[in-house]
Amino acid sequence: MATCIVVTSGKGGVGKTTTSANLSTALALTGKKVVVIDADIGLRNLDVVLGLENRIVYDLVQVVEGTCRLKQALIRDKRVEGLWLLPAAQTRDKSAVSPDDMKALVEELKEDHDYVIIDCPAGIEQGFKNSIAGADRALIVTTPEVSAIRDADRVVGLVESAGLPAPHLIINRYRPSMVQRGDMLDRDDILEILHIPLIGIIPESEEVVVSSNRGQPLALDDASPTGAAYRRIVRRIEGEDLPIPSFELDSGFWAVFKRWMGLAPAREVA
Amino acid sequence: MMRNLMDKVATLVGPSRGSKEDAKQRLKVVLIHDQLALTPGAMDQMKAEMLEVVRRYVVVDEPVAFELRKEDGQVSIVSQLPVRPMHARA
Ligand SMILES: Nc1ncnc2c1ncn2[C@@H]1O[C@H](COP(=O)(O)OP(=O)(O)O)[C@@H](O)[C@H]1O
Ligand SMILES: [Mg+2]
Repeated sequence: MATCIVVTSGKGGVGKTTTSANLSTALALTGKKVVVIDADIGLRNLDVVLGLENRIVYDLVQVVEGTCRLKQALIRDKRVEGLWLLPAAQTRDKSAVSPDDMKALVEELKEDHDYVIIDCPAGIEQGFKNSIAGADRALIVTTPEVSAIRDADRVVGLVESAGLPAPHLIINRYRPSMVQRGDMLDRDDILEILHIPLIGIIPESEEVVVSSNRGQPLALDDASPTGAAYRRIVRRIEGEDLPIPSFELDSGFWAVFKRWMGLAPAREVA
Repeated sequence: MMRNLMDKVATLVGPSRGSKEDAKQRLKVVLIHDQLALTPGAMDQMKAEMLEVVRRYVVVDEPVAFELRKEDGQVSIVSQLPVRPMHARA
């Protein structure tokens, strides 16, 4: 039984596309067959984050309009077995696709894949409605900021009133050193406000920028702590009861002192 | 730098209130208003009208509390009005 997961947030720029790319890659690494759909029609981006931009021939809108067959539009990722991208159209707008179109598309993809991941556009209009139409569950991405959390709260309500089960939360761009000095909402603060189960925390990381420069998702990098955080989220998606590491700070005296002086970054303890 | 260091010493000495407490308070209020589809302006008006009604019967003293609270998903208006009789009894 395949599952369709929508990655959404309300607010733009909080990390939906980065999360979709990495979770899809990490799921494929566990041996699942995964299609990731870029539902951000008109603002195609998932292709470049995945490093697959040069291989696009057809897009989502052409599939829906019957210009090509679904199989023709799917781009296979050659770095990892079992991962395909369905790119968004770049020159069309969201109204080119309806929620019913998306539902039918997702149903078809579920026939021969284990997961369909949908990278939702920002906002709560047509693109959002299309994105949740075929989804079985939702992941909400937020950053520890007032505006992002406010939008997340709104989207939680919309997802639930669309009949989906309570979504899971991913906190992105978490900065332990700011949390420690009381200048960033910590996970308990956020959970107290949003009341949905947490499925993972991704730290703020320069690695994310480097990986998007290269089109090489961090989930592929065994040595990357951020990649490991994505791989752990995937194990939780698969139902494993894996504790969510607190991004505690190195507690040795000199580490604490240097951090206090602002000389050393916080380090994740997995 | 010196200023920075002083701030840091201050955080060691006394409990300081980071900006996250502001974030949390503001978020709570804004989310309740969002949920009720009630702007802070409409809330002020409601408060004024309610006070007007109560004042027909009793004298209301300051400080008047009138706020939105959310517990277990249920939003309530919680108000506390210190009151006295209109006319001192003989
Ligand atoms: N954990 C992170 N650390 C650092 N930068 C990040 C992180 N997550 C996302 N970013 C950056 O934030 C920007 C927006 O991310 P993106 O995934 O495109 O957001 P969205 O799809 O929600 O609009 C990108 O430039 C991305 O590289
Ligand atoms: Mg995006």
